[in-house]
Amino acid sequence: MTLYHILALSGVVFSIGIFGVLTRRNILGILMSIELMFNAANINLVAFNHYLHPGNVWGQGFSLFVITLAAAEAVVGLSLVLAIYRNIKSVFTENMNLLHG
Amino acid sequence: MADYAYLIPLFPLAGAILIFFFGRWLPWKGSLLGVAAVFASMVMSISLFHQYLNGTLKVPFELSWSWFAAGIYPFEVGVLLDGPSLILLLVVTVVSFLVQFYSLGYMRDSPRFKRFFSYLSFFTFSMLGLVVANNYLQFFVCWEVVGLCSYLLIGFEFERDAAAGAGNKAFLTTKLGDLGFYAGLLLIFAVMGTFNFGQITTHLQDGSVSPRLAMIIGLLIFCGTIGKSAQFPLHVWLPDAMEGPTPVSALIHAATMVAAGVYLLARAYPFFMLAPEGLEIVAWVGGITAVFAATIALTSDDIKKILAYSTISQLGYMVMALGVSGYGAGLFHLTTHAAFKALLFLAAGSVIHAVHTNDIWKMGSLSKQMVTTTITFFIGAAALAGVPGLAGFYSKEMILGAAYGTQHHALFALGCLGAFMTALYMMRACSLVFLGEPRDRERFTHAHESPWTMTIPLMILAALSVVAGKLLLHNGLINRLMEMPGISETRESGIAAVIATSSALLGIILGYGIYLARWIEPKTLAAVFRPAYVLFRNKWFIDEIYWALFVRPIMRLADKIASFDYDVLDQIGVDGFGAATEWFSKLDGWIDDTFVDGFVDGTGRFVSRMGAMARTIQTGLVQNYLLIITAGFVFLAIFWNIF
Repeated sequence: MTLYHILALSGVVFSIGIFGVLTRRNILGILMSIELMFNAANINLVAFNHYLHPGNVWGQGFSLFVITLAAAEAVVGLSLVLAIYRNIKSVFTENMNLLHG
Repeated sequence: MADYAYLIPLFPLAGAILIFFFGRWLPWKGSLLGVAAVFASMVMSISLFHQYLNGTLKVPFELSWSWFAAGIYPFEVGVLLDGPSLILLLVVTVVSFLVQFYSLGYMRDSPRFKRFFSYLSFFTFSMLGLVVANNYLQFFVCWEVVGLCSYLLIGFEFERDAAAGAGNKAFLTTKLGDLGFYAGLLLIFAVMGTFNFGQITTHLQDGSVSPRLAMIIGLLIFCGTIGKSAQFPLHVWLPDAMEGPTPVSALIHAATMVAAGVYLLARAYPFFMLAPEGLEIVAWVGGITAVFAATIALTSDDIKKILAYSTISQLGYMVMALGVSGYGAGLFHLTTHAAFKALLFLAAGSVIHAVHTNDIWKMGSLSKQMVTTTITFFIGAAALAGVPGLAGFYSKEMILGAAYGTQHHALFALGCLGAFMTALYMMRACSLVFLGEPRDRERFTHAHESPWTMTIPLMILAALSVVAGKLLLHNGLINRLMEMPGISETRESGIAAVIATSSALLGIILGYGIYLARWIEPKTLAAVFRPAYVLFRNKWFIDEIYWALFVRPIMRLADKIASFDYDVLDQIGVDGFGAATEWFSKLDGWIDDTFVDGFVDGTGRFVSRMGAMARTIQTGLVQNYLLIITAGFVFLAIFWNIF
C-alpha cells in the first residue's frame, strides 16, 4: 500500500463530498458531504506525514485541529439550518433563493 | 492780475456747473449765481483793460500750461492777452452780463429757467475760452462747444418743431464750415507741428511756408468763419436761429458767437499777410454778404428776422473790412456792432414781450406805450444806420474808408449800397413798430413797458452804443490795440466818409418818406419793383435752392437707403437668416430627437436588456454557483495539465 493508493482514496472521498454538496436538495445532506470533504483532507494530511516525514506527527496533530473545527462548524451550520427552517419552513435548497436576480 | 486771467472763463464754467446740478435748490434757481459769475469775469476783464490802458499790462501777455502730449508733440491750454482778445473780453463779458441780467426778467415764466441760465453760463465760458485761447486747438474746442451751446439754446423751446429744426439747421450748417476749419488745422499741424499762435506767426515770417500753402490754410480757416459768422452761402442758419429766446439771439446770434468767426479770421491774419490774393476772396464774400442780406432785411416782416439779416449784413462788413486790410476796422466794427445789435435785439425782445408777436405789421405807435424801449431802440437803430456821432458811424466809416483807401472801388460801392439799405430797413422797422398808427388795437392797448431788469440793460447798452465809437477812437486806441505788423494804419478818407454818410442819410430820408410821410404806398412800391420784391421777399430762394439741391437729394438718398435697409437687408438678410435659422434648428432638433436621443435611449435599453439576460444567471441557489465554480476548477485543472 503506497501513498498513491491512499491519495486515490482521499480523492474519491473528496469527489463524493463535492458530488454530495452539488446534488443534495437537503441542506443536512450538504453538511454531511462537507464533513466527507474535511475527512478527505485529513486523510491527505496523515498520509503525507506518514510517508514523507515518518519521524514526527505534525500531520496527525493538524488533522486533530481540523476535526475540532469541523465539529464547531457543524454546530454553527446546524444552528443556521435551524434558523432557516424557522423562517421558510423548509430545509431544501431550492427554496433558499432570496438572493436570486 | 493778468496772472489770474485764466479765471475769466472759469468763473462762468463754475457757474454753469453749479446751476446745472444744484440750481433747483438755490434761490432764483441759481440764476443769480450765473449773473454773479459773469459779473466777476466782467470786472476782471475791465480791470485788465484798465491795466493795459495805463501801461502796467504789456501785450502780448501769454500764460500756458501743458494739456497733454501726443508723442513728441506737447499740446497746451493757455491765455493770450493782446489787443483783439482784450477788446473781445470786454465785449463778451459786458454783453453776456447784461443779457443774463435781462433774462432774469425776460425768461421769468419759462419752465426751464434754471437750464437756460446754465446754458448761458456755459456759453459764456466757452466763448471766453475761445477769446483767450493762445492756440488753435483750444480755440477749436471752444469753438465747437460754442456751437453746441448755440444749438441747445436755439432749440431751447424744443416743443415747437420750428425751434428744434432751426437748432439742427444751425448745427449742421456751421459744421459744414467747421469741416474746412478742421482741415485747415490739420494742415497747420502737418506743416508746422504746433498750434500756438505766436509760433505759427514766427514760422510764417521766417519764410518756411510757401505763400500758396498759406493761402490754402487761410481760406480753409475762412470756411469756419463763413459757417459761424453766417457769410454767404452758409448764412441760412442765422435767420432761423431766431427761433431761440430773444436774449439768446442778442447774446449769441448777434453780439458774440457770430463775431467769433470774424475773430478767427483776425487770428488767422498772418496766413493772409503772406497771401494777399486770399484776402480778395474774403473781401468779396464779405461785400456780397453785406448787400445780399440787407436786401432781404428790406422786405422781412418779422422784427427779429430783420435784425438777423441785418446781423448777417454787418458781419459781411466786418469780413469785408478784414478782406481789404482793414484789420483794425473789422474788429472795431465787431465791437460797436456788439453793443448796438445786442441793444436792438434786447429792445426787440422787450417789444415782443409786450405785444406777443414778431410781426411788425401788427405793431405800430408803440412809442406811446413803452418809452424807454423806444428811445433805446432808436439809439441802436441810429447807431446801426451810421448816424454821425454814434458808434456805428465811426466803425462803418473806417471800413468803407479802408475799402476806398485800398482801391477796392467796387467793394466800396457795395458797402455804400449796403449802408443805404441798412438805414432804409432800420427806418422801416422803427416807423412800423414805434411810430405811425397802431394797426392792432388790442395788442396796442395791452402793451406795457417791461420790468426794470429788462430796461436797465437797454439803457446801459444804449449808452455804450453812443460812446463806444468815440472812446475807442480816442488817441487812436483802436489802432494801438489792433496793431498788425505789415498793415498801415487806416487813413481817414474825406470823400469816402461823405459818400458813405450821405448814402446812409439818404436811406433814412427815403424810409421816412415811405413809411411815415407816405409819399408813396409801400404796396405800390412793391408792385413797381415786383421781380426784386419777390426775390427779396423769398430770401433769394436760397433755402429753396438748397432744399432742391442738397436736402431733397440727400433725403431721397436716405429714403432709398432706408428702403434698401428695410426691404433688402431686413427682409432678405435678417428675416431670411432668421427663417433659415428656424428651419435649421428644426432639422437639428429632429436629428437630436431621433439620432442622439435614440442613441442614448438605445444604450439604456441595450444595457437594461443585457441586464435582464444577465440576471437570469443569478439564481440565488448557492449550489448552482458552486457547480459553476467546480466546473471551472475542473476545466482549469484539465486545461492546466494539457499545457
